[in-house]
Amino acid sequence: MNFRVTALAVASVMAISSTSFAAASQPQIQPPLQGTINEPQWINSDNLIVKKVTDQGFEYYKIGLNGSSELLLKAAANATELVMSPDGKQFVYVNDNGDLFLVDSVTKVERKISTDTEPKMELQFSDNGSKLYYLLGDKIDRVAAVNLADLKQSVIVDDKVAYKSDLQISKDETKALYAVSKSGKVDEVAEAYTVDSKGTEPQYNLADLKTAGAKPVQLTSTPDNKIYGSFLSDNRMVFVSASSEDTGMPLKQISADGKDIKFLVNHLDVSESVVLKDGSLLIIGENRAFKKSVFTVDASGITKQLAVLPEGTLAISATDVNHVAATVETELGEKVSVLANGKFTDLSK
Amino acid sequence: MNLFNQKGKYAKKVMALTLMATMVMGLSLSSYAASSTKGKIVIAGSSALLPLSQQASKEFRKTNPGVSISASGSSSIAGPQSVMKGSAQIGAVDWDATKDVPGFKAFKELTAYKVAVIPFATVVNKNVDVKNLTMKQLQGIFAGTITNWKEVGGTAGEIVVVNRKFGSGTRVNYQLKALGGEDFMKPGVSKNYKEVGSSGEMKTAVQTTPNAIGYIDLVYVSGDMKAVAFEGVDASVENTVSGKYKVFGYGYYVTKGEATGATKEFIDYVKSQKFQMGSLKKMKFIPVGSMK
Repeated sequence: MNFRVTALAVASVMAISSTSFAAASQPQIQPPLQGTINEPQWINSDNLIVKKVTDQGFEYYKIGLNGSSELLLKAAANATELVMSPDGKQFVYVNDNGDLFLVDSVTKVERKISTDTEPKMELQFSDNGSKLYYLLGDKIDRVAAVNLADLKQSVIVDDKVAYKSDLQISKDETKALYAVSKSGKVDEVAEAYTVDSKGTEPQYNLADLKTAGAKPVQLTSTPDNKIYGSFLSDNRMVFVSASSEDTGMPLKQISADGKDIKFLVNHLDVSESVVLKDGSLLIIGENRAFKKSVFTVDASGITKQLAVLPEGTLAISATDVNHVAATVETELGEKVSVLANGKFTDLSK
Repeated sequence: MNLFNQKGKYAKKVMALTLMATMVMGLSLSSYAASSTKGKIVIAGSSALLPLSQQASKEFRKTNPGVSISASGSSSIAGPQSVMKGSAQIGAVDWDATKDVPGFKAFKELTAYKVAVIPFATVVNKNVDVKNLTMKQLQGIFAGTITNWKEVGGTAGEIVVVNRKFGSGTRVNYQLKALGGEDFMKPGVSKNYKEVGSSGEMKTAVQTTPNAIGYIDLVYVSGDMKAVAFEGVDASVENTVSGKYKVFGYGYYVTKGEATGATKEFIDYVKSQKFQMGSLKKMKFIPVGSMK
């Protein structure tokens, strides 16, 4: 998956509006949504799905660039996670019992597609929507997949390494990138209660999905925080490096064979990277010369400023350079803004 | 979003604005990214809460990349003790450590933050065919007066009791809620009694020991062991929230005094609606706000 699929949290047996989830049915111009509105996900060139956090849980709206908004889903009591397919025709969710469901966006017909009730995290569709990938287990120690044509499930990485995160599948679906964080050790002998935290920093591992039984390879070993790991279109990988020391936040790249790690962007403090549908890269970056901005990054690391981000920007979501949305912190909660003509315009308050 | 969080957000904004103003004035800062929170947090304590702490750490890192977090899980008592000794900033504990509980005195210097509801399940090896146990039956089994599965309606077989070691929060909660405060048998009394040090060890012991019975937090229950109903009620999130299932406890984070800085921001994140209604539920913990 070369673009980050936003995980939309949601409902189980859903109070779905009578309007089709996928079809553009008569949206109405309404006062902008307000409150905590976040996790924008583009579904076409004119519309996004956003999540509204309420005291009861979550609501999902389709909002248009023309100011329209339409309630699509309302969370039920056992809400957990909903993720939409790239074409918007189906979505999946896990209920709080760990059951995984596949739902047709139009008919709302749902099928339970799991046979176990283990926790499932970071659900994500393949680019063509034919497979679903996720992290599995009470210790989040496996990577699993479901073929949505025949609903065949399989564990594709089972290295017994606990607490995986940041799962990314390469565009050709031959590799899986994920972070692992070892747990610390407490010495309780003689009630010492000392804690050994050595080696607990997150590290990226790379798994070969084409070779049965292949042992995943640890790619990194440095003590920095590592976030936003992603595959580029040529199977190079990138991640943001940060630490509790004031060493900046460069974007690093890992060669496709996993053997070489070097800086890709080192002149900006990078707080997020997003891989677009075409495999190119956007980042949030800032330095003394630039306010927090969204930049394109080419293969050699040359950056080009697209636009200054609104103050309080927490994250961006994008499918291409013409479809960039930002989640922005406000006094009321969070709002969604979209980039148009070089500047951001609010779609919610 | 509670007022506490709003204040935190506001404070962050003021700090960011102050830093921006400082830069405009041309004063030297070592890194532009210095406006984000920096720090190191060590979390120690409950193995039941370890999956929650690990997941929250991963998510918190994305918006606070300058904060390093190390989480460990052993026993609940290691949480408050590690904080008191200064080796951890956050103690994870399955009871309110600022209050007395059976076997443990209150830690008066600590501040407790309720972060999750944890349902616990009685679990048995897959070969055991008993599906329900009453409090009375469990009291007998864990006291060593009921020693064979046929005494509680199952196929004959010597019961192997697996207990958590003293200091476990799961043990404290199970003793209070499932056994009504009755004592466990003492180590050495029976050849069919063993104690284990963590939730992971409990899971392995029950999975691999025929005729075994133990208890574990619900998130750890998987297909290779069986959860037994308590007083006719299945161990589930739904039954816990509805009040039907009684064997649960609250998970707490404890800090020395009031939490500050990165530690406070991390605890605020774990208590936030985003985490409580999102990942926390996915991991089969129950949001604190869900309980009636």
